[in-house]
Amino acid sequence: MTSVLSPAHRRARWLILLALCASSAIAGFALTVGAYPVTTEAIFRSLARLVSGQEPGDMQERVLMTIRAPRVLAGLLIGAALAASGAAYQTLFRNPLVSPDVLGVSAGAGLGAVFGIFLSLPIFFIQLFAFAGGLATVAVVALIATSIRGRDPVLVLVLGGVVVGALAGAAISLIKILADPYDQLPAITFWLLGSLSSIRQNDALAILPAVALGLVPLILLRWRIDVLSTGDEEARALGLPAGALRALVIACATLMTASVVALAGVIGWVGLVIPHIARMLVGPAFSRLLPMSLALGGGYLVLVDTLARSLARIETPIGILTAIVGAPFFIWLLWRGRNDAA
Amino acid sequence: MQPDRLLSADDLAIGYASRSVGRDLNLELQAGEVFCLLGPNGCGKTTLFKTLLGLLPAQGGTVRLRGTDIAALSRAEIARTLAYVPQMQSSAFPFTAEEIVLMGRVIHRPAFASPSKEDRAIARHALERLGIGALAERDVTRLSGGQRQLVGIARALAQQAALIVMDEPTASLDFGNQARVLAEIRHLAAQGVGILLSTHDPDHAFALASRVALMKNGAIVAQGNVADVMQQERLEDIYNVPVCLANLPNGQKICAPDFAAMRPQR
Repeated sequence: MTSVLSPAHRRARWLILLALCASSAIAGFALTVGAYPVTTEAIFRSLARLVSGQEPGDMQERVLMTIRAPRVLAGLLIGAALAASGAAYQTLFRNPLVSPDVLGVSAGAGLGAVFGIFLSLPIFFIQLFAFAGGLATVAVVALIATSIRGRDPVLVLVLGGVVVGALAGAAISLIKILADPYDQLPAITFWLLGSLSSIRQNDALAILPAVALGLVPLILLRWRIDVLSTGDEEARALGLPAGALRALVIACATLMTASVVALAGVIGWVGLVIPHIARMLVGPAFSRLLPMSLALGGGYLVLVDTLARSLARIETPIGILTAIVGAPFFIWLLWRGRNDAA
Repeated sequence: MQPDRLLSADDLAIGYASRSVGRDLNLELQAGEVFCLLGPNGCGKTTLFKTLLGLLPAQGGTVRLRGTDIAALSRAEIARTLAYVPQMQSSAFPFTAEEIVLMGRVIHRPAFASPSKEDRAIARHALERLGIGALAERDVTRLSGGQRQLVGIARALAQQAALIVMDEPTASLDFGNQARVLAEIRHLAAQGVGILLSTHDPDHAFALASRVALMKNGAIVAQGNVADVMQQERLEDIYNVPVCLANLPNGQKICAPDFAAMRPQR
């Protein structure tokens, strides 16, 4: 069945397309920038070789295929996933100021990774720990929320997330005190601020299935997620099993966030800022908010990561840059006032 | 059992596990009638409505929807028969009026669908029936309280349920907006839309309903036809003030506090 699009819908469609083009342009530009410059011709040469199944030729092509391209692709994936889960959390919690960190996902995943570094485990296990830590935190928060009845369930979830997140933060601090200050502590600090510097060839592919698994239900349930944003009672009166749907959407958004943290550490603010800008551009309906968040999030993260690796001679942790951009934006949102904040 | 009995409560107890709000409540609604639940603020009207809608579990007794215990029905099954217009329409996000009304269509479509062309036509029609077709593309967070209330009623219409349950549809509206919303509800009622509404204002019951139940302190003290039930003594009892009933020249009946008979209470 076809639907008649209103002028606002048509405009949103063009804006999403425009955002996709902008993100692609940023990604293309990011491929050329770095300690070892890569020309546009080299990019097309590599692409041709990739299609015909040949090995990379010169040094430029090798840098591109083994380091630069995997990092840019991972950046697109990470930014898109963080923005999408942020959009889902914001819509679900009926609050445009929440972010993927709200249920303690990031703190829990951070704790898992820090514990892995403390035990001097190989990178694969650190990522696995991060993933498990993120999911475990949300499970604990959900358990708290279901065992406390007779209060606003959304409020209990958010407050539970704050409390469990604070606990995880305390545990991280403890491990930092106990960690080897010369070897482990710098790794922990760098990891907690997020970085794409350790990403190699197939890392992005490794988290792709988990991200896709989280994203597909969000796409399918787009209209129902709008209805959930009216609140538990109204959504139930409109005929939806609100509790079960909310649990499913939280699980999906959490899976995406935890996979991303496992790959690149804790990168804050993206999941707060990007869905917000997306909502200003295309409105709150999830069928438009989600694609816009994906498109903007990918481009934004690649842009910030390119700055992170080219601003100074040593690499800046990306979490520092996203905070420098995000914090003033947040204050601006508060300044604009609640009524206009969406 | 009569086939046209749409919604009934048998010895219903309402409230929360820790706090009882009312008990021994009995109600019966037929299809297509306008039924008004009248009572002072805090007497349990909202709790009763939420229990009738299955949003709160009954603390005792049963709610039956077309003869079936509501506890045995899914949310979607309930929503096909009962639509709900809550007291405060608040949207956290700037959805358009049409998008809000379209949400009433969600049970009529498969789980993974988007609103169809037909849904949009139904939503537009619902807005037009309430005289607010021009607001379709407007952001609901910027509408007036009265307009938002009409959008909520339009959503209930789009849901195409047999009965629309309205919890104090005129609460927190000013004089003019109250009258406009009431006039629209009257218009719907005249077209045969079944309505169950609550109000604390006797005039609203006179203006809208054919049948009425009076509620006080969590109990239904009387129910039946408006003309039989809405007597001076009963109204004085539930509100605890002296009242005057009068007929206006246009035939409209009204109820006002009898200030001459009142002594300042101190």
